[in-house]
Amino acid sequence: MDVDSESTATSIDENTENFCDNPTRDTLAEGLMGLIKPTVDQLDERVRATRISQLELKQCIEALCEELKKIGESQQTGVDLDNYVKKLINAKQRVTVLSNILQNVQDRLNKVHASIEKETPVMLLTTPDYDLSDYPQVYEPGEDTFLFLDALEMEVDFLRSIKPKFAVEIGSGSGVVIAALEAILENSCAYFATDINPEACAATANTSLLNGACVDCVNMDLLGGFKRNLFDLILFNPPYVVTESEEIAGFGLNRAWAGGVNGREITDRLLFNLDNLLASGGVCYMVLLKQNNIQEVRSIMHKNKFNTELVVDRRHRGEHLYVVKFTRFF
Amino acid sequence: MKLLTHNMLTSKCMKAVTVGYPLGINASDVRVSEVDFNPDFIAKIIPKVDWAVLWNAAESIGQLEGLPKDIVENYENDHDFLKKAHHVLLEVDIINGELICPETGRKFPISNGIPNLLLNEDEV
Repeated sequence: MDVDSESTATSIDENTENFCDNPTRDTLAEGLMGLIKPTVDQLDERVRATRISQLELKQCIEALCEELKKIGESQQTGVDLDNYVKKLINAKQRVTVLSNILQNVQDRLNKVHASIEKETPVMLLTTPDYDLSDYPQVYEPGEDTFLFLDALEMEVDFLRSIKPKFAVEIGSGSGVVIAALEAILENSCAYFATDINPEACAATANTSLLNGACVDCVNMDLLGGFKRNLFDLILFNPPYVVTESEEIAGFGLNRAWAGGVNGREITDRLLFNLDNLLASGGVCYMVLLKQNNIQEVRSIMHKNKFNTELVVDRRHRGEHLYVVKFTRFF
Repeated sequence: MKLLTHNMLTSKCMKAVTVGYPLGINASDVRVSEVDFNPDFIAKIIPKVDWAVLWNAAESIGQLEGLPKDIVENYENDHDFLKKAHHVLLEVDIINGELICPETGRKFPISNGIPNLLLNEDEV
């Protein structure tokens, strides 16, 4: 998480100017790759050359050892060469160790190389800028948030292909997820956000502003204040932590995580109503915890004529998180 | 709050409210700010907008700016019309004021551009 927030810090200026359409960022990314790739190539070449000369050195030492042994044997009365032979054998062992290290370095370089090749064509979705210092009652982006952002990045092609017109994030909190969605779909879609916590609505509006996005926020419970079947895309990182039912109360920070029985009390309220909220062809993405019983969610949704598809999952400090995607049966 | 959002909001989740649409607007502070114009997008959302509600809302806060009362024919290719629709839908922001439930008169405050549609327990 630190890495993500740090990586955005370098491009704050560009991002605040215009996050959606940012040629500077793309040029910067290309430039960086252009710098890194030749260096990695050069490093790779040098490691290879070093390994070859190490091998040669090893062979020379071996040959020298043989020679010394022969000399030692043929000249019984001559100088005692055993010590030198031992020293050379030691040297040979060191060369072998070094050679192994170099081999490892080269393997790692090969991996770096492979990932550079893989990364280059992929869009780099940076975490939107946010500043929660004025909003202490708002959930700070965590592993769940970053998993959700990764899921959106993996779904970029799909998201663009369904051409959503209206997208909403429920419980938007800091607002980084809906701002990231706007970075993907740009001005081909209208963006909305709701949160039960008034301070979270203000934080989302601020994050939207920081990233040059255009998210309209409404303080409400789930999507209760919207007309039916409006949204082509619904994003929800719900309060999924298993708690007592009583903890789901008020409008404060606890509402960001307390999920009640099975961590599903809030999630289920949305899922049972999803058919009334999504436009035809609409899609819903949601974060779930293993303890939320995903198999049960899947069968509930199946009864409501929705497919449940796993987008990505990740374990982090004992939490096993999933991002799932719900689509209607055809 | 944009007028596009107003077009989508209802107070129907209150008990004893059957339609709750459209919500009345009482605006004390309206701001107009430029938003990127994407004519294709505007053309795509016009069928999803309740045009009469949009027109009345814009009129009630004095922001019509020549918006026709009815959707024109072949609006997809009418750049001037799409631009006016874009302005009213996305560029007009109600910063402070209130929304009013048409059936109960319940007022929902709008402050710093954010409407508060939270209900008390006895209203649900």
